[in-house]
Amino acid sequence: MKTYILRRTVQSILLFVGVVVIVFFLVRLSGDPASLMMPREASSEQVQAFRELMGFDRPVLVQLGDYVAGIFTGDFGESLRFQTHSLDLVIQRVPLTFTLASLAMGVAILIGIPLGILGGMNAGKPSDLLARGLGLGGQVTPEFWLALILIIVFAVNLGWLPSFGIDGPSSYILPAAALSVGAMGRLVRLTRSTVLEVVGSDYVRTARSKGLSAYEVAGRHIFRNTAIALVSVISVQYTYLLGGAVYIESIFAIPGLGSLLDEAIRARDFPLVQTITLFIAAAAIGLSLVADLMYAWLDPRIRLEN
Amino acid sequence: MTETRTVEFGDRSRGFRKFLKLILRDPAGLIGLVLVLGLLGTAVFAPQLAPHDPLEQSLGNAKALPVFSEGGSWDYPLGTDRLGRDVLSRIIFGARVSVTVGFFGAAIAVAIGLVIGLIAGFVGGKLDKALMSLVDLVLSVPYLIVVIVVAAVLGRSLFNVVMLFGVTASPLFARTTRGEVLRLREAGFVSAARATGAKLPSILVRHIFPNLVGPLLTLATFEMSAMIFYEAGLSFLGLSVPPNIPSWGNMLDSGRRSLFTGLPWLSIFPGLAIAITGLSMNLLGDWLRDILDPRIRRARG
Amino acid sequence: MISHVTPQHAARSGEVILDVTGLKVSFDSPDGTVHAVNGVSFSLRAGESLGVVGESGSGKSVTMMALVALLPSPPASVDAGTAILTDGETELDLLSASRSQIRKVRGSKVGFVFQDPLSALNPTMRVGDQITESVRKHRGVSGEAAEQIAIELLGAVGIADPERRYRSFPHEFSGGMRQRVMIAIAMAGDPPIVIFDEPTTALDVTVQAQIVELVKTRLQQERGTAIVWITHDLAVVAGIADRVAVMYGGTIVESGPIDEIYENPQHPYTRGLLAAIPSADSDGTTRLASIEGSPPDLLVAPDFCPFQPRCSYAFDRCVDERPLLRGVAADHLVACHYDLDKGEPVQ
Repeated sequence: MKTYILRRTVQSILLFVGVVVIVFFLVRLSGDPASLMMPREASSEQVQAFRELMGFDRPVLVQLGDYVAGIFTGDFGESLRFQTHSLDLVIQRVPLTFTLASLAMGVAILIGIPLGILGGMNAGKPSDLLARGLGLGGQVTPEFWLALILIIVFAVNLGWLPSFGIDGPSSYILPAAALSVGAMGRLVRLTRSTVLEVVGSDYVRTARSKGLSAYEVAGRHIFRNTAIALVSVISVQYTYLLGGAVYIESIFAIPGLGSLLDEAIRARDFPLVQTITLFIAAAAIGLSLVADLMYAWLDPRIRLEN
Repeated sequence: MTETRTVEFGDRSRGFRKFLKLILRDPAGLIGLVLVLGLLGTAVFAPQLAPHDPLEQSLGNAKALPVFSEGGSWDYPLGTDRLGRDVLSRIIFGARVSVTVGFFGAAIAVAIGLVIGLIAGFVGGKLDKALMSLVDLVLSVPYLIVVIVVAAVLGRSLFNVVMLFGVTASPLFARTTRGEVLRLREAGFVSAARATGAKLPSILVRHIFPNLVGPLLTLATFEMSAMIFYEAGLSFLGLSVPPNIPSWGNMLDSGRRSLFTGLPWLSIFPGLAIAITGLSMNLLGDWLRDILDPRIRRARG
Repeated sequence: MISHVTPQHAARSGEVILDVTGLKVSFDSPDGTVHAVNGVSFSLRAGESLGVVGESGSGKSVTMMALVALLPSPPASVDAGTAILTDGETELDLLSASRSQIRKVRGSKVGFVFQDPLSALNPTMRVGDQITESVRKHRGVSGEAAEQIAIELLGAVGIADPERRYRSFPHEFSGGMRQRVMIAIAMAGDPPIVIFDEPTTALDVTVQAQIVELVKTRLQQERGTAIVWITHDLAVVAGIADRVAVMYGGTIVESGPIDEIYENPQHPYTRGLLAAIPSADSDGTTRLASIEGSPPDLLVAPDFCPFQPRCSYAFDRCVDERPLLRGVAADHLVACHYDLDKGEPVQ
């Protein structure tokens, strides 16, 4: 277990370094980061001045070294638009996004996992059809479309719920609902297939051969092993939600990380874009590390490994 | 259950009839196939199918209601937007963007992934390790964020979007290809073929490719659906095709701007098109996976 | 011997406790109906051990699992037959029994030991708990007492330091040890019948011999448990079975006392199997050499002899008519249209 933790942690750090390099090159994909970041109407002299100011005229490797060194000393660069340290902006916006994503994840888990279990335990029966239908429906509904529909119904026509900004708990309802639907759908399908796999496993057959009742087989053998397998699935879905927050936050005008990314892109504030990207990628890597460690702790095959 | 069985895809004599039998047995797969073919047809024959020019503005007919609302007419079955453009025609032409992105994006992803996966699987050793680390690295970054940022850097163009999806989805195909190559090598096929004096190209064509068709086709179907989804999302954020080209995401973006001005159909119909497309490709993909993926088949047998 | 593991079912030896007649099982598959078991009849007496031999796909495992409804349904369905389980004064037809009746049979009347003990044990549950849950179910004890019995069972199947090993997980055991745990689970309900489904296939030869020895002493001799031992290896059966049933294409083609089958095989398939047994001086690792030809196509309903395409004695009637079991000696049955001893078709 100890070696596993160590190995997995080192791996995550290496991944993060790799992501830093990717993010560095992303804004240079067009070949000329200076004109990318300057307004279209800027003159070539202005662009040249900006290029020199930002150090884009130096050799790429020097810039990369500079950037990586900056990241590991906490200097993520300055936002062009807000003229402040980009990491501060990000940290300011993070809590709202995590609240929203966690709410959506909660909804997705509460609906998706029971539905998936229902389907997997009753494969081929009407309840399975219902679960599969809802799962597929959730999966194919774009969150940005559902958000618009929810606004039309609950904010414009019925006037029950707010559709803009965050002002009290009711403001979270529509955004969280819209954001959760995709993860809910995927959870139904992944839970269902995991349950099916466990139900068809040899050890469940052994449990049945002991004369256990259906409830005992489900409770002691099927659910527990399904739950363990779902740990990493949930962490992956959480990462998806952080991405979907870009749409949802900009539609509902929620001042989180997602809408900050949208704003930064529209303002060509790429140093800020880079920091947001890095932050979300780091969150994803961290989540998957936590999930793997949890899995390792829950699964004796890894926990007791020497 | 533990015995290895390879599925022969090359059996064409029984192939087509078996295909018919399999698709007729599974109504969901059949629905998926029909819808996907319908989508393809819509994209190809858009000029013939669309009742109006999707770009034609007629301010006199602006904000026309859809036919099933009171005051709507068959002239504009799904209504018109603020500039009087026919929503139905725009949706029909929007299918062209989605189909192009899905089809070419997946084709590029398959091509790149196949090459990387074959090299990793056959050469093995350090090169394999390096390539797979790269694949893991790319897959560890939240996909949507990367796509948004790259699209923002490259600027609005259909070509850029297709290339972007093709390149960023290729690691998935590389991993699948490599896994399949390793599985076949482990099963002893490759060495058996080598022992009989077969050269690499013939091993590829006779043993590797037939077994790759199933997994890659299945993955490609799901990825096409994902690409169409992501393209719509990028359009919605104003990061995909230019605003003068009708695409479902662009239409939703303008629907969003009209949310509070009483034009809900501008938001409803393009999203419905995206959802139905996603549904059809997922149904088709599920069905393909059930019948083509040797692992699933083996587990069932 | 500790009280908990002494035999509780000293059924009068020789009495028939399981009588199966005309069992048919089919599977629904995309290619059509697979006729896996086509009219199998056999009986099992208290305390005896029956070897069931056949290649994979012969229907031997399917037959046994159908008895206690362990086949996934769909796609499997039991189409015909009866299986009378006699327990003292009560008789129960397993094939028409309700779910709850079957559940009471599992573990307490019929125990199972499966082929691959790694996948057959729950990887996330301590082995002790996997035994204890069966003990609790069938022995009317709970808590500490049940755990104590489980520990005794672990000791009885030859696991050293059972108190400590109770808390281990399956992956911490070797293959042979895992199979011992499976046997302990099967013993937990003290059933009069235990079915072994290729229990030693995944194990090496020395361990195989140990497991066979364990079953003979702990189950057969000490408890008088009746045993069904499914295998594809006729040589393994010789060490454990009193009687043998040879299966092919979902039917029993020959059955009889082990010595009789060895010395006087009357079915061409049995002869082929015996000829394929590696000689005594070989290292024993040689797998059964295969008989020429491929296994039967189970998609076709068998109204003919399933072995006929691979049989060198086959003639017209083998294609037209399915041979039924006929007696050739005391308790020795064979299903073949050809009389091997006389060298001519059966009249």
